[in-house]
Amino acid sequence: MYEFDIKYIIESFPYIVKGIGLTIFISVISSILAFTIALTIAFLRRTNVKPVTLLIGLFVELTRNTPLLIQLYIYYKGLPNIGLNLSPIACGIISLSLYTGVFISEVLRAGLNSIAHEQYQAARGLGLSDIQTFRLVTFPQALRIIIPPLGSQFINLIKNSSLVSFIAVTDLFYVIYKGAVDDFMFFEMFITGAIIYMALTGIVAFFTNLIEQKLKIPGKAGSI
Amino acid sequence: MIKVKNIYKSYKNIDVLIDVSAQVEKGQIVAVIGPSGCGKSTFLKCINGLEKVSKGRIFIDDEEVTAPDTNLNKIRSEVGILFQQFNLFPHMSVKENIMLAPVKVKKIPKDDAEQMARALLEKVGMLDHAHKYPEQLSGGQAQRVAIARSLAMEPKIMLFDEPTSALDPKMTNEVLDTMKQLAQDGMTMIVVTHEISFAREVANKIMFFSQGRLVEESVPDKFFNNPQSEITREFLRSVLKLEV
Repeated sequence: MYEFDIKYIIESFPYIVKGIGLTIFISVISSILAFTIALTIAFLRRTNVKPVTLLIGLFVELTRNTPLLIQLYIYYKGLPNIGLNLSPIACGIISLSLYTGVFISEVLRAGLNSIAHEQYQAARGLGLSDIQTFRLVTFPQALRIIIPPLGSQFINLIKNSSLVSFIAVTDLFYVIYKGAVDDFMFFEMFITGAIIYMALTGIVAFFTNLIEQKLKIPGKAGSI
Repeated sequence: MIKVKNIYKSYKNIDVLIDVSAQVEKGQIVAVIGPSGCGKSTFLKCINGLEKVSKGRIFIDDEEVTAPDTNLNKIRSEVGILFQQFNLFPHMSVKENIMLAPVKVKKIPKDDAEQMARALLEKVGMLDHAHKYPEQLSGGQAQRVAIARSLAMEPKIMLFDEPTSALDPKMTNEVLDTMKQLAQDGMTMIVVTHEISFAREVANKIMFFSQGRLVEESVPDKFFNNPQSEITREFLRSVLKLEV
């Protein structure tokens, strides 16, 4: 009969907590960067300058359609070849933010497209500039629409961050994996890991709902 | 005040406006009428540059709207435009909708803008709804707020793009009354409308568009009782059931 070794988990908890810390650190920084990248992409795409939009489009497709793990290795093992030596954590953050940023930019684009052109015309008709219209009128409305899928992207980011353990970043997955393999505590460590990841993503889901409720437009039909 | 000189507008191969020239004086109230798709809304949006003309020139006072280096934001802050669908910003309260452009474009202090917003809401009879959101208003209320929002920029000219087409008769009257009040205050107005009674009573000039052309232009009395063009007569007979 298999015995679940709780004692082992408790003993390794200090290591696990360190791993959690690093996972949270990487996820939070990458989320902020990813959102900034997404905004930049969405904005550059609206400039309608052909070379810019073509390059952005190419970058989006390349990033979206290749495995994150490969991108991770390109930054980690490839960049030193051109003289850029970055720490593993930096590589992890760069690849996660670019990868997630591209997905968020697509979400953002869909959100912006769903705002009626008349809103844009009304804002411009009042004398607001293009940037003011984006910042004050169309973006705030699009943001409200995309909060649920945006939350999903941040949840994906937390889960995807486990891949950085492949390039020797001692994040939560690394700690879990090491314990599992070194001490043959597969079941204990992976179950524990799953529960912790669920707790982390659960926090994001909770706040996503909260923000959605908070930003709800009064009287708007169809909002949940 | 407004001079439109031989403007053309086409989308791909469709000619929306063909060689339209017109002039509007200060304080004039112009009703623009004509069948759907005749180009009257496009004509209106060309005046403040929301649509770009393909050819021709438009002047407001001495500024050329159609010049490539013109500051359209400045022109638009002086020329208000009202839409059929009101287009209030749904994520802002009524008061915030009105304060937005004065604060962000004219850089008026918030307190002053708020006072102005209250005064304008009072004027259009919507002061009690200042804290509501657009989705909580009826169509007539929303359009009156939209009028207040335009007036907050203290425009020289107001353009109306079928302001009552989405409203039921009661709400239509609410909005028309507000517009009549504006007319009495001496506002220069160009109104694209299907409200023939408004055109008759309030306007002092009618422009009739058909298939992208400005077919006829005259004072209401002459336009409705003694139209010059056969196209106008046909329109008045078939659409408005008038005996002409």
